[in-house]
Amino acid sequence: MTQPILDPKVIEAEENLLIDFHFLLQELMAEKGISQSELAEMAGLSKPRLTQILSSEANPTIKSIARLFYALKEQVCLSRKPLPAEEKPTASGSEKPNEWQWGKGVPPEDRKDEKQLVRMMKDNFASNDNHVPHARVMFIASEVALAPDAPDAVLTPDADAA
Amino acid sequence: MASGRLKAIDFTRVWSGARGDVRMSPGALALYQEAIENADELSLKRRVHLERYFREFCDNDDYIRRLNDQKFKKEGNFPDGLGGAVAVYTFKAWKWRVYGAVMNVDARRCFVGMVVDPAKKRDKADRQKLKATAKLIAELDEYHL
Repeated sequence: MTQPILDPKVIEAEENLLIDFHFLLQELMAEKGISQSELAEMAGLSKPRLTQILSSEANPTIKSIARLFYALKEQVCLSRKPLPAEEKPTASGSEKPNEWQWGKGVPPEDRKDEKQLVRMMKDNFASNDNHVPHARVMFIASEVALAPDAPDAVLTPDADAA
Repeated sequence: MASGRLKAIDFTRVWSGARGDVRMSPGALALYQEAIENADELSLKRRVHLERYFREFCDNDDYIRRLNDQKFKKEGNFPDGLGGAVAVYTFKAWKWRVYGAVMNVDARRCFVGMVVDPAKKRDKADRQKLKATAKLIAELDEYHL
């Protein structure tokens, strides 16, 4: 039996791709002025099922994704690009790649509690630009461009969440 | 003259972007850290989601275009205990919620998180916590500016 993958970077990649999908779909719904109830009906899904697909716990199938975009008169295209090079550990070994660090973008004057918070955020975590281990796949809707700063993520062909 | 009230500007900024900030009260911050800092899978997932949502909120004025109700939601207006009402919002990921309000702090748009609902079994906001959040927001100096 295959062991579950618990590599944090794989988990990050999975979750980030899910969020990319959610953001893209929500942006498209806003653009077309369509509510979640309307989209559920258009896609032939129940409202609770769509709510579940749009939640953080979701693991929608590729087919569900295609169906939702089709209902919005769009199609999803996949693209990919190589991952950036992995960060190398420092000579001292004190900065481990997965070690929590204070969130980027927080001004120095707000770092007064850094000792308490040093494990709180991982450097550059919000972006997928530097943390996916093997390769990355992007969603690109045919008529909807991803926002310029939207990160990319690995696509995992999983089944629907329970 | 000092008001004697709490100041949101003294709260720790957990995320900051070009267009806004996310701050949390000390109590909410402690629970936030507890929710995301462990190395287990659930903490990691929460952290990925919450940081992406915070980033979206902080970087874009039209954040609502990309954050659906399952991520960031206006829960309604709740009495502030002073005769007014506070619009209470929630960031939510993996059944973990932080309740707060969007207000102007240090001349920037800011979500101020005041109350945390750490691990809800039912997938619905807690009315008592929403009401408590409104009253806590009303205790902030910035609410009265």
